[in-house]
Amino acid sequence: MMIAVFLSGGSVFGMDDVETPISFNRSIRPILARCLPCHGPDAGARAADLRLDRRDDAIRSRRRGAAIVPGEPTESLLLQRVRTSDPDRLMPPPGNGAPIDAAELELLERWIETGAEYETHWAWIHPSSSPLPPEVEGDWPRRDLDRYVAARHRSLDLRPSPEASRAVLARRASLDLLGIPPTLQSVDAFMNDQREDAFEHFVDDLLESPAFGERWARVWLDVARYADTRGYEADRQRTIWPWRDWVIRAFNADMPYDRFTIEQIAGDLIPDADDDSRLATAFHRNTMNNDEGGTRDEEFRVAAVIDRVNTTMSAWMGLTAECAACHDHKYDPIEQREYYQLAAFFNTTMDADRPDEFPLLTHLVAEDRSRREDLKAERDEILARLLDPAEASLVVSAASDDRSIGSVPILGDLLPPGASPLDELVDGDLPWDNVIAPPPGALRARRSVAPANGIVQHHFNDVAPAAQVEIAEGDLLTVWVLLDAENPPDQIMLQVHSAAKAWGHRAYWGADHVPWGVEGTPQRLRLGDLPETGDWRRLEIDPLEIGLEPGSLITGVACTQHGDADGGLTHWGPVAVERANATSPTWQTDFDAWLTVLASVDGRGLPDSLRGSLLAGDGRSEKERASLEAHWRLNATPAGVIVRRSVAVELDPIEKEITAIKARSRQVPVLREQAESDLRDTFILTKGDWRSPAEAVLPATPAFLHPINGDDGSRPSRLELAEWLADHRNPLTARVHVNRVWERFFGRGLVETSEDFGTQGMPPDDQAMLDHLAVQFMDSGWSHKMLCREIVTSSTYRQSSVVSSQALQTDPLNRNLARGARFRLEAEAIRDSALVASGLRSDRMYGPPVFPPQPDGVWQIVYSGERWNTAMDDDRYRRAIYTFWRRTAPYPSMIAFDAGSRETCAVRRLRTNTPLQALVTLNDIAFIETAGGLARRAHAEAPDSQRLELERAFRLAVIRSPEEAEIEILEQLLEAQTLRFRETPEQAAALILASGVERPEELEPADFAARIVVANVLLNLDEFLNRG
Amino acid sequence: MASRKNVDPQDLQRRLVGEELHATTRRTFLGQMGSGIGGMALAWAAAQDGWAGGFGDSSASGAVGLDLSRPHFAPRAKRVIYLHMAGSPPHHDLLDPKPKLLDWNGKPCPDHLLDPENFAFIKGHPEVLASPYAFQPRGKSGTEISELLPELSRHADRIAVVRSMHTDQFNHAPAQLLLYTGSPRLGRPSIGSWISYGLGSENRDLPAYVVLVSGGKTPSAGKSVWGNGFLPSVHQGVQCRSDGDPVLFASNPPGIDRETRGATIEALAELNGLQCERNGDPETLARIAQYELAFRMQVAVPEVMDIAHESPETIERYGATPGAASFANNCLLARRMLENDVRFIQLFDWGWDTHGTNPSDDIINQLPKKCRETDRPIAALLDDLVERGLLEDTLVIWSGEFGRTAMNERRNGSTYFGRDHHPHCFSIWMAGGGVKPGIVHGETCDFGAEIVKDPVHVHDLQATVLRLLGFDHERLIRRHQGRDFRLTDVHGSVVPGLLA
Repeated sequence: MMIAVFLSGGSVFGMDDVETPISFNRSIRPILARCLPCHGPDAGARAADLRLDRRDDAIRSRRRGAAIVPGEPTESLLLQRVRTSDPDRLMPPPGNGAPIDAAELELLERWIETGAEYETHWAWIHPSSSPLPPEVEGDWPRRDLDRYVAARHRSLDLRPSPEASRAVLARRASLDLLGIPPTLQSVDAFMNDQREDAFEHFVDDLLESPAFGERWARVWLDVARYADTRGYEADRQRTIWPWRDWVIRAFNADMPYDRFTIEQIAGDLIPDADDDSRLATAFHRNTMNNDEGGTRDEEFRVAAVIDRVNTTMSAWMGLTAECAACHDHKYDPIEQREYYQLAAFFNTTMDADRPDEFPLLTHLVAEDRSRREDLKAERDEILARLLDPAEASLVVSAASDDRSIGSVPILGDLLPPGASPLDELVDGDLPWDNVIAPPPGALRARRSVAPANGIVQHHFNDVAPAAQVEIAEGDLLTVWVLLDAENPPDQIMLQVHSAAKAWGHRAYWGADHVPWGVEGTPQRLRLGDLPETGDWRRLEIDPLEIGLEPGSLITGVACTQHGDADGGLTHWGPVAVERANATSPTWQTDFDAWLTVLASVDGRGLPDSLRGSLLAGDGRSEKERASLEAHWRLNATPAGVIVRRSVAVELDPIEKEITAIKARSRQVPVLREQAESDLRDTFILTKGDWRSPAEAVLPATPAFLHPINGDDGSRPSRLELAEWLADHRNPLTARVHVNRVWERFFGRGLVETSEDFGTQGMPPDDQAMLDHLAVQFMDSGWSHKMLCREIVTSSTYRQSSVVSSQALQTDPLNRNLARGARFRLEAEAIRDSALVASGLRSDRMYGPPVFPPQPDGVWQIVYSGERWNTAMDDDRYRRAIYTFWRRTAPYPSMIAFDAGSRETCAVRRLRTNTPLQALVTLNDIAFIETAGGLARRAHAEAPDSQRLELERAFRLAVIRSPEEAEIEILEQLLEAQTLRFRETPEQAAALILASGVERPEELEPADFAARIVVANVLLNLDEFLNRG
Repeated sequence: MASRKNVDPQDLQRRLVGEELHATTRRTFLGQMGSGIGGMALAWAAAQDGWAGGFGDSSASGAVGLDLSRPHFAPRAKRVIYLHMAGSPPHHDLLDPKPKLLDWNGKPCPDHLLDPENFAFIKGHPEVLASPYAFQPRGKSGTEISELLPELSRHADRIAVVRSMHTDQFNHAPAQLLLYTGSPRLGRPSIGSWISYGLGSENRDLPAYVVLVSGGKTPSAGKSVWGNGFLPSVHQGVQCRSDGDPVLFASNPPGIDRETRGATIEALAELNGLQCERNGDPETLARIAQYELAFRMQVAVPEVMDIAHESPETIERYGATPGAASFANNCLLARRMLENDVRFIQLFDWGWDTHGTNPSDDIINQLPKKCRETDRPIAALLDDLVERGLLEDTLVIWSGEFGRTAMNERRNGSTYFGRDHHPHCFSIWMAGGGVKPGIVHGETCDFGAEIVKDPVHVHDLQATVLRLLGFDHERLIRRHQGRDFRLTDVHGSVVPGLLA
């Protein structure tokens, strides 16, 4: 029995003793694992054609017998080979892993004797709710999980520790749930709360705090390798913080974890995709970009795809898929082919390690979004008032005389019915420009600004079938462009979307930067140099040359340009088909025709308020018909364009504000799927080398796990992968998240290797409890908050963390949970706790990253003038999650406390204890400022006596009240330091100045300086740095 | 060991703080505690030799097959000084003479040298650029070294020049990462971190792994080249700086002097001692000790970083300037760190990326300037190491991250001479610590473009360095996120020809 306990890491349920069969998973698998590098799943490394990870292979009869003969230990070659004294025959070969020791030999022998049965690795079996352990006497268990712990205690003859004091408990729960200490008011209220469930009430209040989202987003940012720069040499800034805010909001709103998963993996592909769900996909744009001069974009694009596979598998499944990038996994059943089948899901997004980080989502913060809606309503109201039919027709007839005939607009002055402008355009419209004089025959043009060395596109798709233009024999495709004389781009491209070949029609002029399609084919054809700048030019394209045969139906158009080092400015006029007998589209001139066309696509693109009226058909009221007609006039007829132009001056302030809001929008890198016609092929990469593609593969999930939806021969999409991850049948997703959360509350996961649930990871301390929590989590609708509440309100969690030297010896890692956990705070929580204690903390949430003080010279950046501009306002005191994160030079105090560099996914942070950490909290100016704040605050809140003031400061730092001995030490220090500062007034002045805090008038400089020193001590207490 | 030290931190502490304060602190620290705790603290203090020995990693250790007290082989080197010329010096002009280039000078290069996949900046068909500098056989060994390095030439019989280095990467950041972490991607531990992890520290007051930067900029790959990756953070390289705090946050804030800092450390020890009695957590004891160590470091680091106490002759020999952030200062500092048992000293010098786009990055103006800045201090460092008997067990390495082309880059028609990046061969030199002296290892073709004999990949160099320090590179392993990792990834073999 002792042996079994040793091998299974102290597990107590179903222990292996002489009476019970040996558990393969607990006792035998770890031994056989040592054989698997040469006798495992990796076909490339397999020796003697023997594999021991599958029973059928292991018992197969071979030339000299079978490795394992069930029931016959002496016949089994395996036992002979691990037991022999002949070094040439001994397994594992000397120097290749630890030899099998006597205890292990005995286990193997008994296992073979009793039939050598294999079991599937625990983590591949779906968790199921087993019956709860029986009730125990007494009222210790409060939650289901406590019954598991109580059963464990009973079997080991342990007693739980008493409940921690309320002050300790309040601090522990607040730090764990919010990452900051509680307010003393809330602690006092809790201590005086006589209700039976006082702690539950306290916890519920914490769960409602907006700080909750900030704390849990912090955990997720490590997993997501979030940073404010792109990594590698240039390590340029990247605007991806709107995604960080999305994560905070998601946790605060308790977004179900399955939804949280699906939006981040495939929020662009879900049926109800919106800007928020598209923003969520920035999760996988946190990969690094290499912008160094002359790098091979394809190499680093592939690196990003590989990173996405590894991160997805680590974050959701606790699997170390990475090994299989180069060869079949040596321990877990993931073949190299399967790895690249997973990669295929991520290999068809449009991003390609480009310096402009294309594709980008134009994102507005919520306040700007709603203000813009208001402004647009205001504008529409003015327009509606001005849309007097008589007046309008007058202007129209005056203007429409010179409209050219002989051409059919694909995109003229109006967006065709049904067309959906794609998501680079915030307004759901194209960037019409009322300033520039339009080309002949047009009423307006579009203005398009390209970034430096980057692409910008204005495009739409999905024109209603009845409004689609059909190419005929002899047609000529034309487009009007005006390249700005001061700032022309270096390439322009016209792309056409056809019903048959999607975006597979592209003509371009100038340089060849825009990467889509195959160069020199109709997918990407150069038609000449850039046209002359400074005036309107009409460019002509023979439709056949770009693959538009007669009969092709045009469903969309993209006007694309690439900026040179200074960007580029292009105006686009009408895109049209020239033909002899052309007529204007009827939807522009006939209201009823427009109604019919739009009804055929269910009113796509109409405001929700009008859509119902449209779909009502003949049942619509006169008033509804009038509103629809007004909308048609304004938006789908030349008259509307003219009216808009005629009131441009009146609308000017509104348009200006809309433009200003638009200017505040951020361009956030997101995932966007390649066009159907462009989908990249995915290959198995030999040894993981991007230059050595072997066989092509299609997207698929590993065979040993549950099947993916859409696995019916069709090609599953990234959305289906997301659903597969968040599927109830997935054996890992819920367990991995529960374990990640448990780790935050107990300092150590139920599976200690929270990054590896595979066969090489450690088995769970208590699988039944883990599975129970996982099932409960899924059944609760994947509620993260309910999971947190379940754990935090348990009796197990409430135990005191005081440890006896005996308990330290018998259970140093606290596997048996007979005490509360005590461990050092994370880097962020140390900064945040000091800020809260000092009263300086700004509780502003969200927004661009901030620059609190850091030592000069930490940022010395190659090839870039980027500077750390230290915040002089409230941004100086924001929570750590908002501090600018530069991958090649992270904020030094956070690095000292074991935060990673965020280069790749990190599931678990180590916790170290070093002198460099002491130097941070003692000397970093940020901590001197918090010491100043704490000194000042304690004095303000307890001005009556020095002793009360010290008590107050002590409580602000560690929440509990000090003991007499502690107060004495602080008093002695205060007195000695007051004396010293009286002797050296210049030192007192210097310290007060450095703290940045104003001295209370009633205190002498020496008195206040000495208080800062005491506060500095309090913010360095071991108790302050730990949660216990 | 003691004889080598010119700084005794204990002694310094007594001198600067006063014996009395120190004694009081000690007494209070141990005396205030209950006997049980006090005993544990003493036992803990006695058991630990060197703060960087990997303790304090509260998570389960991921080390596999590693007995930290017993290296795999008898070590030949105990310490390493790595001199990195960031940007990569041109091997044609310094260590790998190619007289045949003169016949081709200014002519379009032969087609087989065209390698557009791997050019960073060259466009079209470039012209060959012969070195404008003369080479001479030096010392008894006759190793040919460029006239740009007259001082290094004096040490020709002590160094091993490797002309057959090669790498997979032709851009600075990935190439530096490959050289220092074994992988061109970010996130792996650097070689210094591996060595600190494997050997621990011999010094109680200084970090085991120190980084010194000159030239005004950190290397392209940033701090990742001295990052600890997934090793405990105690093994990360600590950048010591010549201006500002020598170690980040080592200076007390304004208004807090050494005495006040001592009083706070003392109060903390007392309060934390009480806390430890209550909670029974050994980590609290460790924290008390770490605060005391931090207090000692506050003195020891500035002391070792202060070269003003060196004799004027020494300062002159190195060409150092007290107070400046120069490569010469860093060489002198490297010697002082070495004498204080710092394990791995990494120097980075910026400014070697000689593309020839203007006079500040060409081989006519900039290259001789960089050579003048570095040649004398490097030679002085070697002189000092020899004189003190330290070269025997100190490994010195000089390198860039890749080589440069035999062709003139002429970016955008530049009229300055320079060379583009070239991954297929480059030259480095090594000295001391069990390296065979006075040899040339490997050979490149007449154009200095391809290796024709004894190629040494950067993974082979890493395997060799680890071997000299007593490690089998295949057995210095750390498990991380379910996989075993090592410096050389799954590659690398020791180069026997370089071992003495």
